Amino acid sequence: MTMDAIQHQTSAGGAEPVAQRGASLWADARRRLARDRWAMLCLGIIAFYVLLALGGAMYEALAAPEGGIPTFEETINFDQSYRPPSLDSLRNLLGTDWAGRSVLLKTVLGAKVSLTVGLMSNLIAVPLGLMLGAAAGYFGRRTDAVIVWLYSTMASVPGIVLLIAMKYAFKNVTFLGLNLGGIHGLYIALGVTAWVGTCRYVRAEVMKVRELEYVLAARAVGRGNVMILLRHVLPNVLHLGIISFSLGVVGAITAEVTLSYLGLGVEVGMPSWGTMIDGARMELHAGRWWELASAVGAMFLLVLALNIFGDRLRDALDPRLKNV
Amino acid sequence: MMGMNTQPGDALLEIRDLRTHFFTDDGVVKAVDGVSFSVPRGKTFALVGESGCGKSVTAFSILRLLPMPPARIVSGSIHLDGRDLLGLSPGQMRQVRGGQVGMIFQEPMSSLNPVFTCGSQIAEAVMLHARTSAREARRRAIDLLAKVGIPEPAQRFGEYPHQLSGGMRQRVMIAMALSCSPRLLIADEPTTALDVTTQAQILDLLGDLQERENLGILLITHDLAVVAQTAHVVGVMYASKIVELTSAADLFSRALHPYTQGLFRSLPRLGVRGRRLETLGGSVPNPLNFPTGCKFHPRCATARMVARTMNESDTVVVTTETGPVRVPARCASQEPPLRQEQPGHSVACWHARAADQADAPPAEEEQQ
Repeated sequence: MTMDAIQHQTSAGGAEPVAQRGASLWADARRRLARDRWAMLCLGIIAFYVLLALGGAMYEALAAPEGGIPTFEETINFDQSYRPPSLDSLRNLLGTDWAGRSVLLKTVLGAKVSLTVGLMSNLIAVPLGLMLGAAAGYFGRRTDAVIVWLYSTMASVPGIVLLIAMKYAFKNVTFLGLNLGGIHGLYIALGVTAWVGTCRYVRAEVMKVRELEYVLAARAVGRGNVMILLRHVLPNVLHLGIISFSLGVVGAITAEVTLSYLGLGVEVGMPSWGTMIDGARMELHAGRWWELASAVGAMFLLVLALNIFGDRLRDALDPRLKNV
Repeated sequence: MMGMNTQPGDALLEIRDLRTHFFTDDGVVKAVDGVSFSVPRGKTFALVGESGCGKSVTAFSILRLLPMPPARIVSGSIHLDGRDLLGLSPGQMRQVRGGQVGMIFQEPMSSLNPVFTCGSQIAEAVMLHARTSAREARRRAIDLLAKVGIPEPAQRFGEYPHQLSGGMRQRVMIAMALSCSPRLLIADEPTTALDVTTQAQILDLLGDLQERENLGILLITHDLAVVAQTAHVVGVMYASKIVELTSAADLFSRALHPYTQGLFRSLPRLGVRGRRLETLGGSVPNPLNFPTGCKFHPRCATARMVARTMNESDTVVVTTETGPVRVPARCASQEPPLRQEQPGHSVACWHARAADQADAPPAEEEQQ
């Protein structure tokens, strides 16, 4: 049977030459990234967080009381309040909070919120930045003027003020089943404020790429503008989108924590690192450090891993650093 | 309408009085200003000139690949096989690009998209004009790779541009340009970025393809050696105009324009030892501020020589980059038209005969 398969392959190869694939930019980057121990370590940490978040989501789906929003309200147990971290049970590994809830569980569920916010807001911001940046850089003239005006305007308003304004403006507004005053509003608010950086990079890079001869060559074989933009320009700036994404997640996570700390982020009762820090800040003077430390530690490790990974990814995708 | 625009004659590409100007904030740059020539079927027409003389703009005007604005084709006509290209809509023009006319560029390094395989880029060009299946396009792409002399074309099909050498990339570009069997190939400095051996191979390849496919080639170059190897007809461009138009054999045996002569004198000659190479004094004039009269007169050796034999009243002193120079008054005030000086040999110079004589001694010397 194996012989058959081989023969079949060779005969197919004889009839029609089989093309061999060379190493693309992406394959090259992957190889370089795989050789980078720090990048791999950070990728491992990120993967660990993703697993935690998935676990947290499953816990919520399975263990959250029926009909109730997935909070800890039902597990309030004041006898268990403020237990310091101890090794006697997994539940109390990182201690308990004022209502006797497990800080470990809160931290895990916080990872879910943070990663979701990071992912969702960047799924809005990066494609938006890529599209607008590519259009501005490629078409130039009026298109460029309008888009530059748009992002200059966005950039001139302090992000956090815009976020607060949006949170208040859309309070209790639902649109297409999205709760614009709640967590969905947070995704959108972060998404539409974070695209400016991506847009700028992409616009500048597209301006460079559109002058390259392969774009001219594509025109010389009769390609139209839209196809040139989609096939010849965008794939060559896509790495900027990926880098923006990995670094943008960091920004979104810290923004979510900041907003939740200010009471403007996630809904009341939803466990997030921001609300944990907010809740724990008054308890520090009483010597109850574990909730604050857990939230900050968890965030620190994730943000650090994402930052280093994003940095290494940029190096790996930069053709100028090839073979270094 | 179509009938009115058709042109008789056996020329593949016929350009008449083409004027392409750039309307910039600093003023109007007349990059191409009244250029006429024709590319015969199955022959190579070389447009020679130094950087900024307008030769590339001429080539880009044919396929309308210039940024418009600032560029605008102000007047003139471009006929391909009797069809007026300037009257075509953008959609029709896209059919011409890559369909009837292929184009290759100077930089094979940047002429291919780095994120796609060479083969897929050729197949893309095939599918763009011939409505074929992806499979058929692939087969044709591999055939094309073989045709341009790439060994193991099936393997090369899947390779990325960075895995190929400069010469190989230029072959891939040629394959792409030939993907729809065009009748005209525009080659914009196709060998400038390549080393001399590769250059010879690419030029041989172009010659072979020309014979096999009866391909008309418009070759843009600044390299007289390339012209000598490949061209049948040559137009020498200086400051937005053709100043000399003749067969390649004629140009190399007896250049008539002082500029062309200057170019030849600046080439190193085999067998002539111990002499400094001559240079053309001065530099290319600024297209925003061309000299009056003949645009070459401030740099022209013949004009100075002729002025010495003339009455002082018939000459004027002009200031040039290298100091004041006495030249014939007509050179400084009237632009010479391109006119036939000898059968099949046109020159734009008031003193072409004098220039011819002036150039004779070094030519004899060469023969010794």
